[in-house]
Amino acid sequence: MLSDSEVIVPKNIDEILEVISKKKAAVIAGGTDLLVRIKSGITPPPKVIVALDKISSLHKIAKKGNRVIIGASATYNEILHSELIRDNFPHLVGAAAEVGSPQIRSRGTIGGNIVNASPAGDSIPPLYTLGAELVLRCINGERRVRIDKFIKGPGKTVLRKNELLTAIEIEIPRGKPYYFFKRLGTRRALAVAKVSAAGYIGIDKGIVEKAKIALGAVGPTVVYSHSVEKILLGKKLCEGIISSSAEVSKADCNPIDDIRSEANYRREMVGVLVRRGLTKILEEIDG
Amino acid sequence: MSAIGKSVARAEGEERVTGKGTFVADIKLPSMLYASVIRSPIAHGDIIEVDDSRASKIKGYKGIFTYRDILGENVIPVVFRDQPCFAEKRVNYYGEPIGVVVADSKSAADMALSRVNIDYRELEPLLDPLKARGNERIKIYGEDNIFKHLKVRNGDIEKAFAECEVVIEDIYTTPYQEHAYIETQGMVANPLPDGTMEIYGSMQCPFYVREAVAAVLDLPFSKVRVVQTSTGGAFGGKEDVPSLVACQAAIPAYHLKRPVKLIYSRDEDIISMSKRHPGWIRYKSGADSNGVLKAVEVEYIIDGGAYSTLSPVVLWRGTVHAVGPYRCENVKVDTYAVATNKVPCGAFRGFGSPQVLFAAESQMDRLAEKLNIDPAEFRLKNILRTNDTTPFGQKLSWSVGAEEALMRVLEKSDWKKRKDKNEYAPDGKKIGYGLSSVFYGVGLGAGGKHLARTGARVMVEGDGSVSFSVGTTEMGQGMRTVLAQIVAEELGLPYENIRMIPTDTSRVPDSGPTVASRATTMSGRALIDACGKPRNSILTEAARMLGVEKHQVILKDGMAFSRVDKDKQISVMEVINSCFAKRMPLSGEGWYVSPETSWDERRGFGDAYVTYAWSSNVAVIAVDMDTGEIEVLKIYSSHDVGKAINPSLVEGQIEGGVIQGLGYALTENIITDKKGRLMNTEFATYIIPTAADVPSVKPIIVEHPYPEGPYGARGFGEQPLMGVAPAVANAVRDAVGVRISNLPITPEKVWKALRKYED
Repeated sequence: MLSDSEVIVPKNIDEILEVISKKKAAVIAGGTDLLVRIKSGITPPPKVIVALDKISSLHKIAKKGNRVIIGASATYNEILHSELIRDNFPHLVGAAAEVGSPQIRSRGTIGGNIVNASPAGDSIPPLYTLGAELVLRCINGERRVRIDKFIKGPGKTVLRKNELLTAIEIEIPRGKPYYFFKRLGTRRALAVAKVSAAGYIGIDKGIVEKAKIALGAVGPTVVYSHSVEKILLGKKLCEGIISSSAEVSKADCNPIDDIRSEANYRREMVGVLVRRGLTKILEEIDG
Repeated sequence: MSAIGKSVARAEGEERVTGKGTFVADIKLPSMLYASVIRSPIAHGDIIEVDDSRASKIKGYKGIFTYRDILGENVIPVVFRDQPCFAEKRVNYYGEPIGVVVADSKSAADMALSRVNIDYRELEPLLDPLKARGNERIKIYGEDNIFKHLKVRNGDIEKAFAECEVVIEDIYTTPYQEHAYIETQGMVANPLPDGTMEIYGSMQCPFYVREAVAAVLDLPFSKVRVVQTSTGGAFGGKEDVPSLVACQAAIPAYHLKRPVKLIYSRDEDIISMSKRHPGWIRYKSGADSNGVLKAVEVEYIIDGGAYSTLSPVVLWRGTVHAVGPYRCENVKVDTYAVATNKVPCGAFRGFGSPQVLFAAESQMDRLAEKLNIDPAEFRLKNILRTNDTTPFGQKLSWSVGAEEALMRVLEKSDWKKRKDKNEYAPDGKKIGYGLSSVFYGVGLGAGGKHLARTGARVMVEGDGSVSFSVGTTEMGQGMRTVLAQIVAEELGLPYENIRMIPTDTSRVPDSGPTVASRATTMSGRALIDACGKPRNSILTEAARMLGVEKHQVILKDGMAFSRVDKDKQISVMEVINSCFAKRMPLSGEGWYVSPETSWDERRGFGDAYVTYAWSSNVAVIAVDMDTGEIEVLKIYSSHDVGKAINPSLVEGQIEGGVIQGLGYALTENIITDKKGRLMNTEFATYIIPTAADVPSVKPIIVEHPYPEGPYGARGFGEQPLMGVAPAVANAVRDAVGVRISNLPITPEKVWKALRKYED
């Protein structure tokens, strides 16, 4: 029973770090994953729950130098309505808009999405493309881990029991970056992704000088499509390049059959999403 | 008419929108206890022991109740009486109830439940109905695992197929469908000191619940009182299974002499409650060179699950509807309801017909295509008209609106103008149009004619307000509103004066179940009968007050007029006041028995239903050629309802049914694993349409009056779901050339078929 859990609501980050340094506690932000899992009996009710509700600083989205810092408790709605994110990382806004329902978007947080480490988590592929850095704090200090080094498998991360994810830091790319986020679900809203793809392309004098493509729900974690990146770098984006990118992207994933979809379909759809994403970028460049 | 044909607001609209607590979950009685159900952890096997010694240490624990605590018969009475209330030794499906634990809070009961130990011996389950039928090794029901085999025989099938220009044969499959009612199952049992057991809960059929509770508690019907609480959706899912829930609450309540509440969680509800039967259909049909449907041969199997419950009657409806709304002189239909080690399937909007109609209407398009004629033209050539005879030998003497329903849907959707077959949406998706025509036998028909009666009571108060009671139930379909309109019309009073008392077995005689789209016609007629006596008093007194003959009085819009001299009028209210003062009778009881039906089961022939509703649908869709995703743009859906007593409610039924039909067509399915466990028991994984998935639905009302119905009305509430899946499948074929014969039509299936098609 959840009512048997001790619930602690600290007033600042230090208090949290204090609590989790001493007790084995479950940290809860929006609760859209943990509460559902407890209620359906998948996760046994934790002895201690630490709620982040009272800490407004963890919701902050701010610019510092050439970096954007997103508080780990920023909700999807807060991300959707942040001009800073919209101007700099529109594909992250696109992904946040696809998450769950209005209720989930108003409770669920970006930090929760990351720590939950589902390969289908919508905010994760865009963060992969941006090489987002995660700030992990404990009572003794902090360390920084890149998101792709942080997530180890479905629900598995390198986060230690005494650590709290406090912020996501993203460097604003120089020049004119282009982004995409595409996904397929089992219906048009309120559906976990069957497959998703995000991309960041940096163009200098018409040539691709930066390329990051991340694929979701097609492996135990979100994965990069390195073969696409290799094809794109140093080239001018065109239909031919896009076709070969779409083709090779399919080899960079390792999907499974599950309740939502089938492996071979997912693999093919990676190609479709990469093609559509890059085509959208090409139109933006040409337009 | 003043109240009929008007879109008055729903009687319970405000209650719903403002979230007033009138549901069973809102009931709190003094010293009430809470139950949780002990369920089988295996699909097939023997229970050796159920041990609650660890559970009994929980604070507030009140005890465990199993089959040993049943006072009467351990049965849920439906048709064959093979389903126990609590399993004794053998369990036949995952989630089958074995007993309940009771405690003074729901959380304590759940905690106790988690500490009940079940010792069992597992047996191999039979999960595939095709393998279960006639299985030599494993027997779940009888010698062959067949609950029921039905047939239709007409004409000479061999000869007719030989004469056909085109013949199509294929196998179609359809999945489970979960009702997904917003309110899960729930009951409160309240034992009274005089030995009466009161039951409050969410349900369609209070008289079924009464029979079941009386059976397990060994009580006479008169000592079981069942009251329906506000019911948050049912769709057939609250026809027979609420009897189980009620018994699970009533047995401990009886022994503990305290009220017991039992509300199902969502996953418990999905695991253990009834569903639409998965269907397997081998369908062969042929037409001659003139486009005449010559012969139809069908083998139709429904997966009944572990117990027969409603499967025999579900199968019967499927059997009668197997050919669709067409003339066909040579027919051979064989249908089977088969036992498997899975949750028992039961009633769901359409009741055994959507499965076989999906096959039938896919076949109609394929025949038309092979004949190279328009599918609409092919249907028009064969569609049933007044004075035609159905494939099962019923002469339709009146009120067949099938042709008009088809014509109207073609007109509205601009079917004929759609010459350009290569139409693309602005986003590059391929557009497709698909057509279906279906029909629905209204009421219980010959399959349930022993239940085809209803009672009603009307009471006019001295202040002109009116309350009425019926034995059928409101479950969101709008019955309460429609029946109040009928009473208002009969008594010449404003609709606002009329109120329905929640359905209660102690107020009216056994009126049968609220199923088969029968409430408007049956309770409507019983109410007209019940209004007879007060109406007579009002007319008599009005005539005296107006100084005219009784037959010259008209009641309308709250006024009594003289038919001859329109200036002579008086308010009905004043008339009622006068009746009341004079102690004239102002209440009445009514009764209605359905017209005769007949069915010769050996031959599969007869007057199956008293009347039929008729429908056609056009689906306009856009297919993403890369992903196989289908976007439904528009659904045109026409229905011959006899008379729309409340047009806005009719449209609401059409919209709701279409959306539920789209879920069936595109996404809904329940997956079982190798051990017979249901894998997707929550709404994150059982995918029903959301508001974002809903297309533009265009309802079209057709009115060919049904002479026996109240003001010409006939039921049709189930029909809007039934024709959607085949219309969508036909639209997919029209759009991209692939034929999907297994529901749901997922992007994965379309994509695979497209790749094959391109090769």
